[in-house]
Amino acid sequence: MTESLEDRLKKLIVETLVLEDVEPSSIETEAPLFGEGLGLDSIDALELALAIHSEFGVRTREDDERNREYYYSVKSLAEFIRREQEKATVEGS
Amino acid sequence: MTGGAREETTWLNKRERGTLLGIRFAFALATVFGRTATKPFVAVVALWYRLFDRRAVRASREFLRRVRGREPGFLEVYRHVRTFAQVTLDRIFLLRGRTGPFVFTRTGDEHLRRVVDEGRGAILLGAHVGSYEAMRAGGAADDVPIHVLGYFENARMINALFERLSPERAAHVIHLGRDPVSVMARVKARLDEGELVALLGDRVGLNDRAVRARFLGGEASFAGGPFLLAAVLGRPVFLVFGVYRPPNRYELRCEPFAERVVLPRASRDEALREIVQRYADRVAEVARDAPENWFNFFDFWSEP
Repeated sequence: MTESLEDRLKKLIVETLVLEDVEPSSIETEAPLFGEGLGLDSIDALELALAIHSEFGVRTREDDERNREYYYSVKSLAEFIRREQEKATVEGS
Repeated sequence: MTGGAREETTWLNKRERGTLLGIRFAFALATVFGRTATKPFVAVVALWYRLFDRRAVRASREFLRRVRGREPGFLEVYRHVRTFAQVTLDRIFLLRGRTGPFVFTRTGDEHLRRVVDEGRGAILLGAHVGSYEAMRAGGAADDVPIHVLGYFENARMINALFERLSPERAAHVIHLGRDPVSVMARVKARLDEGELVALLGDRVGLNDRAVRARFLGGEASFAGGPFLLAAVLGRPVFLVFGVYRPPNRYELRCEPFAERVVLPRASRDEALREIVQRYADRVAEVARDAPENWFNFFDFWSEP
């Protein structure tokens, strides 16, 4: 069985941000990443956006007002990535 | 992530309303009679703060004591506060592009020029020492926008005024704090365009990653964020200072600090401490050289 996008994201978060003592599987899919929850900060946001770009080819735009929604949780982030990837496929074909 | 920023309530922020009125008055004065006419006003304002703002006075005394190695006198503290008032007022002139009353001397322009010509983008790191505005107004890189990154929430009214004075500059301010993802995407995009991003490293703000460093015989908190930012984005860091020399001169300095900030994973904290210490040492040198330009009027050496 192939790994779900959500699980890949959790792994990516832990690896990119060097979260010691955090098991990828312990990150809740719907829990907030910033503020309460995992408590990521602005540097984490930057590293995560870069990692998502290199891993999934999805770019985070500076002027997208919905960035906050996209990056709310693993779940919303996965939806964002799927949508962007679909868009890229449609445009590419 | 706004914790650090909220604690840094300077007297400027706290007395914003009064200060705002004062600034408007001084600016009206300056518009009609010129900068020199505002000097008595600046002197009176500074005297008022010297007499009644115990927090600012305490902070000034502590700083001057460390720099001079003795207890500072009444006049020394007064002159320190007056320098701050003068530089704050000068900001308005500079924001309006009125550089006429000032003499600028520049050192290190060539470093910035080189980075700009190569289109590499760079991080300009300053401190609350002297005038940050002067650096921009002095025209170190006229053709390339400098984006100022920082917390401007707790001085909302003053910044609203400044924005009105210089809408063009307001467009180049990146407000931290609301949406870290968009803020960082914007920082990256601007640097990718070969533009410059400026921020201050002597207060904790970018995030809560404060780093303790030795500073003027004690230990103080500095921001780790700017160096992490430079490391993650692989951009060079330059130190910038706009030191005020009475009566009307601003010494603009740009110094290469790190061509590349490398923070190896295994020893990230250690490497970060080292580079922050190097920054703190340089800020201490500049502050010793021009003590009245030190504009952190709060307990800088407080425990985290």
